[in-house]
Amino acid sequence: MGDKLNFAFYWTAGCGGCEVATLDIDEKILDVAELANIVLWPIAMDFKYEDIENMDDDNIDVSFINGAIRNTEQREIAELLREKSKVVVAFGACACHGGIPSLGNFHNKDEIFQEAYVDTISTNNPDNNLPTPKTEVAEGELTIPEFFDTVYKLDDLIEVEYYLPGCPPSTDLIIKAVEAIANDNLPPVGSVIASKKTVCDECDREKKEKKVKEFRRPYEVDVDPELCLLEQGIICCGSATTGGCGANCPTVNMPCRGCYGPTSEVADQGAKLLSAVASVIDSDDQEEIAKIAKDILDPGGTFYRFGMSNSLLKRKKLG
Amino acid sequence: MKAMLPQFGIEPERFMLTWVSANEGEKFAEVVKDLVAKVKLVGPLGKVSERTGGELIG
Ligand code: SF4
Ligand code: SF4
Ligand code: SF4
Repeated sequence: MGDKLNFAFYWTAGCGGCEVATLDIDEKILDVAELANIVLWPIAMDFKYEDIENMDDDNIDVSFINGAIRNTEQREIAELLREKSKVVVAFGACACHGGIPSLGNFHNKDEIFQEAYVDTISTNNPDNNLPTPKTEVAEGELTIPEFFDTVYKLDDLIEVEYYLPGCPPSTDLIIKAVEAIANDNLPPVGSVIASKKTVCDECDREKKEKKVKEFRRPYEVDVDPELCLLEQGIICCGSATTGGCGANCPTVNMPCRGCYGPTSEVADQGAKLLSAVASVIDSDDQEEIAKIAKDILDPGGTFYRFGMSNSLLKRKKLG
Repeated sequence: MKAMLPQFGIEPERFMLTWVSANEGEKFAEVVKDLVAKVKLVGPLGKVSERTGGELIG
């Protein structure tokens, strides 16, 4: 045990997919077990937060944290792991950029509670009970974590050394990261472990002239398997998105949704995508342009699907 | 853009797209005056800390 590294895996506001992606590295997971003691991994093993609290600072070599931060418990554990870890890796789109949970930033806490606990058709809640951080019962006070109005990416709250983007990160990149740790060959602090190129650069589809008269969803089109999807009027986010996945989605006729986040030259992924999409519209007539743009039903959700916490505006204005 | 700004809680009055040619000085002045007047009506946009209610980050 002596020379082994200590790893912690933790999940916050995520879907569990990143945990499955970690297990998906198959037999390489045994290399991880060979390399490191796992000191925390709630999905797979039973540990107590207390064990972590009792550790010395920097006792954990690497903490892999997946998920965004949207309540007080997640903040508390992220801060605790930061204190006890030499290196923190933001694992997956949610931790790196807010991910799908950060679409909640188009709403606020009250709207989300109303939808989730009252309005959904499958909900039966005649007394309109909503989660409250503190509840008095005969035995004393019960507490649950407090929910925030805003979803945050991990580095909004704690310092992060490395970013492993993707929803979830590809197996190849996870293995690359683990090998870099094993060989003590880590890139400079702050690095994004992915490609420097865009998804378009990795995509084999034929790129010709982009002239689009209408935007359509993939299911509405008989997709040409060779031609660039954007040229076929399918919104594809490849041009503003960091590569590293090998253009996974366009390879199987699905557009890139942007899960690896913006490339290093792009300040705001959504704004960049909006301008990329606007530039392919084939019309000079204002009315026609407006009509074509109407095909994009949810522009905010489409262009910022995985990165509201990382956007310049962060969220819908509160109040 | 017009459809997306309200999703962020940004008033559509803040955004305008128009074409003014280089020799239409007067039109340009009018367009700008018009936009300034509209934006004055809706007031300041607010900083990111205000957008997030100053909850955690500013
Ligand atoms: S990045 Fe994707 S796979 Fe990972 S937790 Fe978030 S939603 Fe799930
Ligand atoms: S826009 Fe999409 S389909 Fe077209 S080249 Fe880029 S990644 Fe490939
Ligand atoms: S193609 Fe786009 S959406 Fe698909 S895995 Fe790659 S970055 Fe993510």
